[in-house]
Amino acid sequence: MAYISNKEIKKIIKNNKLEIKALEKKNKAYSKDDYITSMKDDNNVVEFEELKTYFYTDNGVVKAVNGVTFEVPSHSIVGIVGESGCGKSVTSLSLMRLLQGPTGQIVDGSIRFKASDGVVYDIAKMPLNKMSSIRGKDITMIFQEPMTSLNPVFTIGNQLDEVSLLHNNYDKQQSKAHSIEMLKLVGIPDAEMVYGKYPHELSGGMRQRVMIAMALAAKPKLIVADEPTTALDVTIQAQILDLLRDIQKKTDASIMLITHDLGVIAEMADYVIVMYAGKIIEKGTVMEIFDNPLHPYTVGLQKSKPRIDGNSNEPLFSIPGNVPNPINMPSYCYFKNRCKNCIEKCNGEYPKMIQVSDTHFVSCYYAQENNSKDN
Amino acid sequence: MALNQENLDEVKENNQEAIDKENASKHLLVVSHLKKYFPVAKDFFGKPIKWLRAVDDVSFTLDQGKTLGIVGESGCGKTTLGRTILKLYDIQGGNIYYDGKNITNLKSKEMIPYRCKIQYVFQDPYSSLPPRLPIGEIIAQPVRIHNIVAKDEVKKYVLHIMKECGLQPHYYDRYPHEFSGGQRQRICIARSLAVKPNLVVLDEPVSALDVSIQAQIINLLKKLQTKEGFTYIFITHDISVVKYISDEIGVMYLGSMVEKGSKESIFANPLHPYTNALFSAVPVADPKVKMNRIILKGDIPSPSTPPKGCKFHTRCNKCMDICKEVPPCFKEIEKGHFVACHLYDEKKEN
Repeated sequence: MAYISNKEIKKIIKNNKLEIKALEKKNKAYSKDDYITSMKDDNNVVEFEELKTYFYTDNGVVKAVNGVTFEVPSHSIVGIVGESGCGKSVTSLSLMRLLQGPTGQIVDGSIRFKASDGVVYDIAKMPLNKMSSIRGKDITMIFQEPMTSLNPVFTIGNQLDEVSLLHNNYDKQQSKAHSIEMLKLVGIPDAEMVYGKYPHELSGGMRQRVMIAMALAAKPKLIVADEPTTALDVTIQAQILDLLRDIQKKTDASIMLITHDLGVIAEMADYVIVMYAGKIIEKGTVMEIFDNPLHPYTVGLQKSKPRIDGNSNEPLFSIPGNVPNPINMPSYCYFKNRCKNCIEKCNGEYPKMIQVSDTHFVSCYYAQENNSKDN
Repeated sequence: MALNQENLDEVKENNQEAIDKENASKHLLVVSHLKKYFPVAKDFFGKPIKWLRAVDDVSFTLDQGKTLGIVGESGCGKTTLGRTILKLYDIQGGNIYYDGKNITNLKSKEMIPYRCKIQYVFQDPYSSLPPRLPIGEIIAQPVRIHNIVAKDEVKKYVLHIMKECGLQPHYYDRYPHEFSGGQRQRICIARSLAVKPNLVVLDEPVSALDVSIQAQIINLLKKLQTKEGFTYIFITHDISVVKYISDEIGVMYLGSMVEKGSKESIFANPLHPYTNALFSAVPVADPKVKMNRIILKGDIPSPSTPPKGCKFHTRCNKCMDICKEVPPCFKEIEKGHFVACHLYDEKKEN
């Protein structure tokens, strides 16, 4: 990271303040006509279009999500994969409107979501107080660390009942019955006993099951799972992934699965989105991404992951260098400095997304050229 | 009768020591029946009344230039094992022989010559580097303390080590916070290798890193091993990483080693039910591969109250009556392939 003097930092802070103020003013001005829209395709649960989420830090503007377009079809699992800092978590936080303000702001773009009342909302433009009727009801989230996302001073039952009381309009008796039913659904033996326990009395795998039960309690249409198994051991991970797949089939909800583990993606997802430095570089069905990866980064990522069924005597493939500094991103392709397949075009502006098949998109000049040759 | 039993124990102990000594002359490192217990509850006078058996009767040998991978889930005692080998903890029982010499009861001053022979790389590269020292100084300090090279050649030597580990010379005066995770791990590795060690204990060196950086570090470690002939103990929870780097693999569960053998024999023929389940639980990055998954029931029991008999019997799918009563012995089934499971007792008797 380049050195910044105090004077420059003060200038940046001043600039940020102005920009944040302007953005907040713009957000307040949105009326009902702005945030009630219609879906492009009725089969989708949520559509992201050119979403831009920036963080106004004291060192400069971090473009964490920089123009992301994709959709989550109903009854499917969409996996978002990328390395740390590529913007996969920020995408999900933007969808939930849980960004840490005032530094984190949705700058541009739209997130269209069809709520259970039949109205299509543009979440990016919605006022925050309206959002609370969607968040936790139609879109729910499973966080990475089950210990820190459960409240330590309330019992499991207390926290689970709250969901039903708020979103399902149940009374206390009904909520309790519903909560216990949910705990049974996620495979917790002795659900009545766990209902009265505190989070610290449960193991990591059990806590994650409780989190999943909580996410399911309000019968959501979309579950956002942000690294649901990263904090768990392999044998527990296998249990939780099995459960998630089972539940997706039972409840017909869509799942947006965010992870850095390609193995988890290969096993779970129907569609895969590969992100790098705030942009989507490739997306397609799971078969297309793993059988015919086109972007050099996707290829490198797959080759550099050690495989349990692979040949272990050859040296591992590795991508040289590091992810670029998120402040002051270059105008050319962000992956250019680490890429082996650079061509002359790569020095130009950032490559546009091109369509390879019905579902397969890639943004790379090299892939584009190779593909046109094949045709 | 009681006297006889005592005598027997003594004979057994003497025998064990003789066996260990004989082993120690053949192998670089011999760990024999190592025990490390932590007190979890104390009585009124501060005497421990309850122990957490973090490492419970672990034995293995390791040859010069080889890599032993230790895998297991969290809480199975793999990190404690690594630290106990370095004598960073007091040892409750058992012996450690390094290069033919028993180092178990050495005082900390007597350990100093061994300190630069056995080195440790910690898991988290963010918290294991001093934030107030520049990189050059971090690497140079151990070199000076152990008198590895003459005083006026230290800088030249450090730069040479940095180059070996893929760090550019102009990093010499920079501070740790200026580096990314992968580079920090390179610095940690450079610091351990600067004192010309023989045995390096690597405690989850790639777990905190991204996939693309992880591959860089694994390749670096492999390259240094072929060049300098280091011996590694590689502790990790990631089974696919272990496959790439190890010659031998030890699988741990709740403080005990349940299976140990060469990489080929363990992956081709995993014997212990836990090893089987562990291997099948690893997700494969290929949607066409459908694993025959064995999903274990329940969670790992608490190590302070381990189950009676075989520690794995509460989750085992092949549990028998004997498993609930008698703890299994760690036996050699094939040459160099050890396992602790009652399934294989029977076969021998039949």
